[in-house]
Amino acid sequence: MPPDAIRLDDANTRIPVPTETDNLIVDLPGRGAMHNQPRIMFMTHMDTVPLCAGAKPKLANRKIANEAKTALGGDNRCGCGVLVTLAAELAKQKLDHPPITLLFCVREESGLWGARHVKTQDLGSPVMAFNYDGGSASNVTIGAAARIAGRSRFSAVPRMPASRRSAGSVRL
Amino acid sequence: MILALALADVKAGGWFGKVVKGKRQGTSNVGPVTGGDGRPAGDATNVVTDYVHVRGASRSHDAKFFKEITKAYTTAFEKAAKRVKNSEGKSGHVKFKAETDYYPFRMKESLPVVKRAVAAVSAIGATPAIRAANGGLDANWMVRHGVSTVTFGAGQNEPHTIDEWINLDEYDRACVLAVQLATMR
Repeated sequence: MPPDAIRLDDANTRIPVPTETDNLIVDLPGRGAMHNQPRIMFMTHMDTVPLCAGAKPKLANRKIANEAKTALGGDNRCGCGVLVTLAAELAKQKLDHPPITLLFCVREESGLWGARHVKTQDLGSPVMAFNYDGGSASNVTIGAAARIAGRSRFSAVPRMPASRRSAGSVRL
Repeated sequence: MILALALADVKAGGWFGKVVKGKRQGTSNVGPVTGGDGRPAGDATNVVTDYVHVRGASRSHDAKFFKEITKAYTTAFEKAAKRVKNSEGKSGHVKFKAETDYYPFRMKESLPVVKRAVAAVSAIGATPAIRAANGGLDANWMVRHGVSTVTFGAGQNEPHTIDEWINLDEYDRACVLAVQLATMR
């Protein structure tokens, strides 16, 4: 594989909150009978909520629980696991597939920033994408409109006129 | 003082917390309140606090209503700034910036990406459940960028809480589904 098949983009220069790394993009060249079909994309996010710091995962009966009083970070280590497993299985079983882009987004939890600032040309312009983020694998989520459609953040800066900045109390 | 008057006005108008206006619903909240750049709001009790930076958010499933909630805040802050004057009679002023974090989307079930998704779920022996999510997803932006995107679960349960757990059967199905999506003709 060429060295730039696994790369970071420059989304972090456009994200207005501190972001340690960029979106991770991986190109898998197509293989076999499907090698020149249109490119498709699999995506997920690789950040977790701060509440999961200090998690102590414990495996029991097909369930991963937590021994610490924190969140687990399965949101969205699960999604990362799916994408990595996909790449591994395609290689191991030498399966035919179209060209595939894997996208691991940053900063989903704090406002969908990674996906917002990714450039589609950096993704090889896929014709469709499959995102992994949630509970059931049979849920085909085709919209985000049921309860929360949008969010607006605002900031207000009330400022008093600068001419009288001292409250007039005695300077100690 | 400008902040206090503005928020009192917002609350009196029914625009704070859970907002219900007729059939339309949304929420709004305020905070953090700072002096900007991580500084506290105000320096000392013997110095006039002449600058406060306040942030907040409004949300609604109605794509117009969350903007209307934000507008109520803009108006309240502007009115409050005019009401607060210093000893020379000069009033305060407000800089207000609003940014939409994400937009709603709903894809048609006839799109190739939805057809492929439904066929793949059926092919692995599961029953596809077409649905819409309650919160924002990275897919909101991908769709806005022009890439139709279906979102699947991968075994998460009760995320963002200390009761979070992972269903490995569901995780394994998500992996099998991904291979199916990638290889089906």
